[in-house]
Formats: sequence, C-alpha cells, structure tokens
Amino acid sequence: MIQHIYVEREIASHPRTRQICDKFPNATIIDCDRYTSVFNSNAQNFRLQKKNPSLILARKHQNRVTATPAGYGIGGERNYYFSHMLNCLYDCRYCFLQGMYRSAHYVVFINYEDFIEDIKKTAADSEQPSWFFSGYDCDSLAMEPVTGFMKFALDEFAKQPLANLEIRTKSTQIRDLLGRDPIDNSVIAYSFTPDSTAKALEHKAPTVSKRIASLRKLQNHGWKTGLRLDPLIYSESFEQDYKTLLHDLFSHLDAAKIHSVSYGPFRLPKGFFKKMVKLYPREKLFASVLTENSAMVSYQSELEQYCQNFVESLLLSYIDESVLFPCS
Amino acid sequence: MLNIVVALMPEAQPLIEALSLKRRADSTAFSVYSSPSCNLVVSGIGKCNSAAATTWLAALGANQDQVWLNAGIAGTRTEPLGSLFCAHSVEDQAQAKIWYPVQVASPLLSKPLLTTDAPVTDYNNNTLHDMEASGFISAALRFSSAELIQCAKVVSDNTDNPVSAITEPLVRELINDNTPLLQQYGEHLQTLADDLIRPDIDRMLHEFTSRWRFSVTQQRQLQRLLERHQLVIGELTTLPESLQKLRSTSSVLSWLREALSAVPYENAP
Ligand code: SF4
Repeated sequence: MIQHIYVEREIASHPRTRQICDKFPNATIIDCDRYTSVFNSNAQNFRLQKKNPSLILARKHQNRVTATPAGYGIGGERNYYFSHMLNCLYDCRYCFLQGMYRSAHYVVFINYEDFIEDIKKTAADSEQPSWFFSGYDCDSLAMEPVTGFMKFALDEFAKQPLANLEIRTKSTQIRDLLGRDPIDNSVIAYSFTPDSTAKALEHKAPTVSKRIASLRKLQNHGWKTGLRLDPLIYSESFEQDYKTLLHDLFSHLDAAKIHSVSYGPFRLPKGFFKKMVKLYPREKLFASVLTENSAMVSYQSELEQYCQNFVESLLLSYIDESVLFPCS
Repeated sequence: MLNIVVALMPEAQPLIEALSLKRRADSTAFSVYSSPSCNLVVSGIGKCNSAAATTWLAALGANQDQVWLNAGIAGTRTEPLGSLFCAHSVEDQAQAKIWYPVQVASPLLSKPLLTTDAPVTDYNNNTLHDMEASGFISAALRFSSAELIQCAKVVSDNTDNPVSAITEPLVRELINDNTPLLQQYGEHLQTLADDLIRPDIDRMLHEFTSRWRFSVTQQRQLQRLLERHQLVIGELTTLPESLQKLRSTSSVLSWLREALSAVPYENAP
C-alpha cells in the first residue's frame, strides 16, 4: 500500500494528479520541486525501498520518446520506446531497473497528452510504420488501475494507423482491454520464464499459469498477442523447463494467431550488474556461471548461443520463422 | 547498531535509562553513551553541533549501513504536546536546502520539518520546527543509506504552549512518555538495516589472506569469489591440496573462478 506520495508542485492541481491521489486516501502527500530531488538523490538503497515504495507524480519535460537500442524490435524499421512510468510493481531479480535507478519509488508522469503528441510527431516523420514500445522502464499494465495510462493511450493509438504499440507486461490487469474492441496496431506481449525460474526470481509477479490465462483471454477477445522469452535464464534443468513452458503456452494459445515471439539472452551492463550484486549479495543468480567483458555481464558466449539455439529450435516446432525475432 | 543523536541531556536521559546505555570514557569531545546494540551522543543545540556530534560518533567506529536517528523535541502550530512524528522532509531554512528522508513502511506518522538557526515562535502550518535535523542529516548521509537515517520529534511547543514555557522536567517527561515508541521505531529501522548485512565470509577470507598476499583489487575480487563460493558450493572449511600448492595470488583467484564456473544456476524459491 502506498503510504507516501511525492507531488511536484507544478502539477499539484492537475486533475490527473488529484484522481491518482484520491485512490490513496490514507497516503501522506509530500510536495517537492522536481521529482529528481527525491528520485535521484544520493545514498538511496533500491532494495530497502522496494519493501514499500512511495509514489512520485511528476511531469516529464523532455525525451519522452526515444529510439530503442539496436537489436530491440519485432521486425519494424523504426523503433522507439517511451516510459510514462519508471519502476515496477513486481520485483524480478534479473530486472535491470534495479541497477539503473537509485530509487525504487514508482514515478508516474501525468502529462499523458505530451507523450501522445510526441508519438504522433515521431510517427509522422515517416511514411513507414513505426513501433512504440511501452514497458521498457516499467510493466505496462501492472499499475493500470492507478494510472489509467493504457486506456488513454489506446484511444489515441486507434487514430494513428502508422504508429504501432507494444504493451509489454506480466500483469493480469486486463479488464479494460477485455472491455473494449481490440485495435489493429497494438500487440499485447507477455514476458515469460519457465515456472521454476519465475517462482525463484520474479517476485510479486503473477504466476506463469495466470499470465497464460490472461493471454488466452486477450487472444480470444481478438487482441494481437506476443510472447517475450527474455531473458533466457540458464539452469540445470534448462531444456526441460523451456520444453514445459512452450508446451504450456502453445497448448493454451492459438499458435497461428501469435503476432510475434522474441527471445534474448540474460545480459546486463557491467555497472548495473555490480550494483545489483551489492544490493543482493546472496542472490544465487548473480553467483552463477556469468562472465564479464569490458561492458557487459552475460553467460559465456558458447552457453549463451546454446540457450538461444535450443529455444529457437523449440519455438520453430510451434510457430513460423516469420514471427520469430531474436533480441541481441 | 542504532546510533541516536540528541541535542540536550534532558532529551537523552530517558533514552539512556530505557536502553541501559553506559557513558563511554573514550569519548572526549561529546558525551557518548553505549550498549552493544546502541550508541547515543549528546550534541548540544544547533545544526553545526548536531553535524559535528554525528561525525564524531561515526568516527568512534560506525560501520556502513547502520541506523541513525535524530531524536528530540520540536515545535509545531497545532499538534498536541507529546505527539511523536518522523520527518518526511527536512529543510534547512538558512541554506534553502531540502532532504527527503526515505520512509519505508514507517510505523510513525510523518510531517515536514524545518531546521532554523534560532528558536521559532511563528510556526508554519503543519511543519515541525527544530534546530538540529538538517545538520544531522547532512552528516549522517556520509555514513549510511537514506532509508536508515531518520528524524523523530516529540512536539514540545505549539501556539498554546510557547517555546518559552519549555522546562527540563517537561522535556524529560515528553521524551520519557514516547520512549517505547522511539524504541519500536529504532527496532523497525534496525530490521531494515539487518537486510543489508553481507554474507559472513570472514573466516574464509582470513584463511586466504594469511596464506597469500593479495593486492587491494585482488582482495575485492577474492571477497566476491568467496561469497559466491559460499552461496553456490558452500563454505570452504578446509583448503583443498590443489589450492594449497598454488604460489601466485592470480592462480588462486583462477582456481576459485574455475570451481565456480562448473556449477550451473539452480532455481530455488
Ligand atoms: S516485470 Fe519487467 S519491469 Fe517489472 S520487475 Fe519484472 S522485469 Fe522489471
């Protein structure tokens, strides 16, 4: 439960700020100048804050829409991401957000209209379709009952046929999606690791079976759906675990209707990894067979290649190569 | 370890008694009282004294990630005497600087706190007023994490009970009445701090560093390799012969890396 809400003075009287604050009638409201003075201040501990994060309501002034890193995408030429929110309700131990941010507080940027304006402008720069990825710095749906962002964004995307939206999530908050007609230029993509990995590492996230059930409902409702097997986590039972996962997925979903499947290795920038180890020195995942090069921490290239090849060939027994996208 | 910084002896006395603290003979600049789990320093009035006393206490032997609590009295406009609050923001009026002590599942209600250079009689609505917190917090942030550094204040004056009416017995009584809550708050913060304790590899580390001379960088690598070893293989209770016969420190580190690279990750909920 949110106990404290930091609110930038500039947006204190914005109707959306009030709506969100009203959802937490017992929370203490703390005013601040810029969210960065709370979120980026020194000597914070992400792990301790994760026990009970506060909410920060702010305005995002610039860099609302950014080109994705190379290798991130599902077949489009023009790929962008945007983050109406920073940080996540869930607590996946492999999540790079722990290494990237000093604070685990949830930041919600309430100027949704500005995000949509920037998305429209970016899409209008070309006659080619563009992809906009949500859920890069957060889970796209987990906080939807609080933010209502996707509800707002989908109405806008519906009017922008050249702008495609990927909603990436592990959340089962799909009531709004099931209560409306699907839009053609949006994909709801669920992230998965095998059940045993999810139980060990994806703390507070819905179980794999609940995610599959949500995905099935969305698919039956007519939404384009995607699977994201990213990161691939190696374990002793890797082969069996992924066989079981894919069997479970494709016995509940219509493989022919899957829009896209992507998969990628477990990799982290070295600085992020070091910070994560410091936060969780007892985490076995970080003590396992990983190797460092100058910039990244990952599995040794042979092991990484093996994981990718194995999952790829397994996937190809269920789906067509044209919907398969490796992430690098 | 809980480190408490208070301004005056009447604020300190009830805490010293409740926590069974003993005066430390080795502290000359400030009066320090200690037990195996708690230190308390009496700073004197004002933010500079508070900063100096905090630093002094840290220099007496505080490790990283300990709990730091500035406890004492504060004024506010309307809250009744004896109410206890923690501070969710601390503003230094003279410097126009503000800190946001991070609240993690705090059992106390919180308020903004304004640190002034002189006693205040014209209280801002809703805000606690004191003369130490900004000095304390700016110093304590050098020694610990923001979630573990808090200010807890008991209301001693308000519009109906002016600052001029504060007496030593009143301060003692106000703090004494709140001592159980302050203790609980300290325990809550200590529970958070306990989460940050690193794996205990001291015995293994000693075994290695007494046998081989590692450089500073190598010692850091060794520390992490031993932590990993303890996690995924177990504690090295005795050094295997293949390890003992190694001469160079780099080959010792390679031996450990090699041993670890053979063990895959196992999911354990
Ligand atoms: S769901 Fe995604 S964003 Fe959230 S913690 Fe897990 S990996 Fe990070």
